[in-house]
Amino acid sequence: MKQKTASKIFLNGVIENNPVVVVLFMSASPVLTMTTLASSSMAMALVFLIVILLSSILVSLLKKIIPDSVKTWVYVLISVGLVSIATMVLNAYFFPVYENIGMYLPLLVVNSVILTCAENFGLKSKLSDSVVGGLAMGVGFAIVMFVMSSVRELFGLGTWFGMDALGAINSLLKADIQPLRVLQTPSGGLFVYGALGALITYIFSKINKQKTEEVSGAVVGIKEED
Amino acid sequence: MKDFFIVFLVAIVSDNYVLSRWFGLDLVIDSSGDARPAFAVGISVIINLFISTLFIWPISRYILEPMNMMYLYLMVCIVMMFVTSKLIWIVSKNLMPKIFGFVEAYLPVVAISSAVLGPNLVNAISDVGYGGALASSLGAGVGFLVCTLIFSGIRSRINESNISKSFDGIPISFIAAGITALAFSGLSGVTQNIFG
Repeated sequence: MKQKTASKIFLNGVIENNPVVVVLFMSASPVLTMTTLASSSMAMALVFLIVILLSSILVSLLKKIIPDSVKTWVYVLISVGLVSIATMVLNAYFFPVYENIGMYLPLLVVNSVILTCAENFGLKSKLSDSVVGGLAMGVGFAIVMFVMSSVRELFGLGTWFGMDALGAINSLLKADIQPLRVLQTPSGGLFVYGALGALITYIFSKINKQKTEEVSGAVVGIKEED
Repeated sequence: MKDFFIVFLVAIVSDNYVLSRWFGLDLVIDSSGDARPAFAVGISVIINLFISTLFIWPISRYILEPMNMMYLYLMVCIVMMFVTSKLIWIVSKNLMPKIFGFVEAYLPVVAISSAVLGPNLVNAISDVGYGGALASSLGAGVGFLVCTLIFSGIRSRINESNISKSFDGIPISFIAAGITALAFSGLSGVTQNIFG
């Protein structure tokens, strides 16, 4: 039973409360400019996952001593500490990655996903729930980063994780597809993000339509029994 | 003076922080289509950004760099943003109640947005001096104001037009932002030879 609720929270975070779908749609973060290369965006998603997990654990542990009037700033300061540690670790041990994403890493701090996650999972629920919630948010963010960076790198640059993917496709299809350079620019990123959002809205409207039909059918059935 | 003006223009036109680096894009995308709140958001970003840079740049140059503690830069930025937002809140409430009533709802939202943090991060790695940093911050703020005003216009046109169901709302705003960014990238040569 307990496992079932945990998996429910996880799925809720990944699919229904997907940070990029629900929250980030209201606040596209500059972190998403990092999606030009698949490898660096996956590094960013990993850092994001660790930071959001640790910050929701810390907020959950500290929730009794944080005063209500400055709670947003306390969340921000907690994530400042975590992001600073992540930046220093990357600088020391993974310098090629740091060169790519180091500039945008501090912007994770003002990311509204972390704040919302701290508010929703850290403050209102138990420690285990906040761990699962933070993990789910991080995984959902990583999925969207992966899709966006794959599209932008494959069609914008012709490579995928550094491999010459478009060349392989060309030799397979005996075609001559050229990469679309505009996808590598910030404006191309906005196009991809908008198209992805429209796709997700379309899929979710289909799913929700089915669900509401089932629910309304059930409600009608109950009423008839009464 | 000429250099400061060029830095100011670059931050507004050719390297607009909102469209080329997505600093504060969340505030811009949220636009309701009314020009008045858009103007209020822009004004509060300009005030917050300029005053926070006024404090952050000297602290980083004269305290953090000599003591070799640049890893604390992010912490200093966030703390000074907090102090600045409280300062602006108190001063404007007591001395300028008319302006305060105009921007009151947006000051706390703007205070922890990437629109204020982002240009300060760029100032830390670019070597332009105190005046250049202030000019670039002011330019970033004015560029943000330009973007919010453009977007309130775009949004009001979108609200009137007939858009397919999946694109309605946020996705179409992103597509519009992409087209605007493409248009702004065409202006990148303008500031290079502006003084001959």
